[in-house]
Amino acid sequence: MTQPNTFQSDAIESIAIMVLGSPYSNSSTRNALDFARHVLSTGRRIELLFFYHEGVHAASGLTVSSQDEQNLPEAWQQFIKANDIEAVVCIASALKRGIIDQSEADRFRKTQHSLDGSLALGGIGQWIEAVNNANKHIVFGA
Amino acid sequence: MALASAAFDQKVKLVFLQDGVFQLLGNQQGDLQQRKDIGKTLSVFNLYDIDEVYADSESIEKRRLNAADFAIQVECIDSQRISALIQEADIVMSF
Repeated sequence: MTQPNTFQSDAIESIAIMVLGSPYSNSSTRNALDFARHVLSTGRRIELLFFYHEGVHAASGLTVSSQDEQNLPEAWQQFIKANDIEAVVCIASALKRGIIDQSEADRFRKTQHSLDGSLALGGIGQWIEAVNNANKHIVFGA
Repeated sequence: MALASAAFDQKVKLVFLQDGVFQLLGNQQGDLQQRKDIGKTLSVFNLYDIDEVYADSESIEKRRLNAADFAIQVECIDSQRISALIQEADIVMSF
């Protein structure tokens, strides 16, 4: 779902972006990355990147793609690192899907951890704060 | 999301649309399939001061449902009213 067509306005300085769709079964994740890149290229700020529901799969540091296909999770992670963006993954959505960091893996005695270091586990509260702080928010994959 | 928002002192209005109206049905017995029962979540709306819950009347009609079968009281509204709600809101999120 997109916001009304006020993107040209100079009043928009920051945007909060939520990603709900999983990287490969939903084109919305790819669209979200393109959009995020565009936001920065227009000189605006991304207040927060929030991965929720199936979107958390973009946070996996363990994905391996075939040669002729883009590794979308990796592309997200490189984008986040290169631009120093705050990227949060909903902990509830992530844990049940096996996207966990070292600390949660230890806590729940899992043999591996999977969360890429460019993102952090967090809560919806951070999204709510971000949508209140940002001028606009947009949700991909609803 | 609605509960979290309310917990963070946001004024929340909730609208159930299209297949979303199925979530309002009472007596879902999710535990029979070892699934979360949304009925429990709906029943705590009052506690979180979420008192404006709406449902799209056209969606309800198309699915041959009856608001009397819903787990909670909702106000059935038409799409014009839904548009108005969206216009009035500072922040709109859809899932």
